[in-house]
Amino acid sequence: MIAKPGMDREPGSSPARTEMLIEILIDSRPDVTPLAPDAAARVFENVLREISASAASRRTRTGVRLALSVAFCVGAAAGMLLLRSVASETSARPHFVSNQIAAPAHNSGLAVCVPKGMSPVYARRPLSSETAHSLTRTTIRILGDGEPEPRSNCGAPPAPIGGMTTFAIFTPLPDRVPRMPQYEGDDPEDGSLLICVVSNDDRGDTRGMSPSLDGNDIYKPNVFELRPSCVMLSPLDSLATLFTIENGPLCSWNSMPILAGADCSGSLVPKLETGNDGFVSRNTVASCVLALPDYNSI
Amino acid sequence: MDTYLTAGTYPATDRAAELEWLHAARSGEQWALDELYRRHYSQIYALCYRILGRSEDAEDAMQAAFVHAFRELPGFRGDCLARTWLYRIATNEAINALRKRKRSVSDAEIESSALAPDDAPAVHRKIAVTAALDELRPDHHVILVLRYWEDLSYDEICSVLGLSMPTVKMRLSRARGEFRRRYGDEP
Repeated sequence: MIAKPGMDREPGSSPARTEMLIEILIDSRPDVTPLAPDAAARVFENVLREISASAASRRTRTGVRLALSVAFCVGAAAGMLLLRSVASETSARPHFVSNQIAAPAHNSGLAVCVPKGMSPVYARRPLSSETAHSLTRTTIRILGDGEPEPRSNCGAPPAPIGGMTTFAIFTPLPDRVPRMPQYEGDDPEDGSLLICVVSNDDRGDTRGMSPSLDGNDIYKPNVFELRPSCVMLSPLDSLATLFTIENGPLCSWNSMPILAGADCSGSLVPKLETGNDGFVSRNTVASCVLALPDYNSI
Repeated sequence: MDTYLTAGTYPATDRAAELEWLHAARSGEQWALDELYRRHYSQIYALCYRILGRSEDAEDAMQAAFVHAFRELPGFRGDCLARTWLYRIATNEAINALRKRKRSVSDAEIESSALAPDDAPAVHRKIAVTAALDELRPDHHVILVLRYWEDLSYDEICSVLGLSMPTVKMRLSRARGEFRRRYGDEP
């Protein structure tokens, strides 16, 4: 018998001997008696039975896991509510009124503006995990703490966040801007919120933010292209970055009326002036926002 | 034996039909599962039998293979033929079975004698070959069966075992060497 291609000789073996052995091997191929039809049918039934049994078992396991998960979540939620009720009595939380600029809480460097008819929200209030997740994907950067920045992923559409139109403005002092971990959690009241993060960073930007955040750069198209729901109001070193959320995903930039009436000339956006400390005052930012003519229609 | 296990050499019409009923089988439709089984069980059984050498073991391995296959069917993307995929699963089941048991020569003798009662030398040779194969490592055993009894090409063995060509060649060479040592020691 001629050896098949690739049937090489083993080192140190006689080719003839190897060929003979392979021939013997091939000649010894067992003749297989076909499986009887009834045996074949029996095997098939066994297979189906085993499949359905394992599927039922899997469903049972899934049900048990689900029940345990629900029980765990209920317990966790109850615990969270209890903690919050305790916390609300022990902390001086700021009070916000719709359609007003809320006073920043203490030295947080934070102002929150809530459009008319919308629930007041405070950025430091814990967000839902979904919202927090979306923020990590869409927010620009959070500065000042020296920790790794959350990487935005502006190219990918984030999950929708609520259906509200909400502003949040963080004014100056990036190092005072609350960091993302503070947003972890849940927001039982409306579940939606938007956040914005301010930066006067001059280290350049890796996600399309204008490299030099001076007054001439704030409306650069790349800002809009890559940070679709963000408008920077401040032309100065200290920036206020405004995010809007308008009835849908953050990235629906083209259909989102970002600060209605604000075009790239900035004519409708008053210049923000820095104070003596080099930062835009909160009141200035607030007044700017209020000064936007179509503010309430956003 | 037809040996086209790879998609490239499979008749296009059969391939298209296979994809069609495979799609239904992935959805768990009974008729499609039945089709998958009906088309392939005899080959899978023969493969298991040639590796394991006993009809009962072959049946068990075949059953385990189809259970495994039906469970994994939703994840089967059809990038190779169903037969190749089933061969792979059945081979793994047979290897597992080989590892679990050490087949005795006397068992082989009984079955082989029953198959060829009038040819004593041939029977003895088969027994010796079977005994030598059983002494091999399972992966060596299986690759020799695939190559010389199932008559698969090197490409097909690569697909079934999920190995690269050099690995298959190396393993086959070593398997032959081991077989030669085992069988060659026989009187």
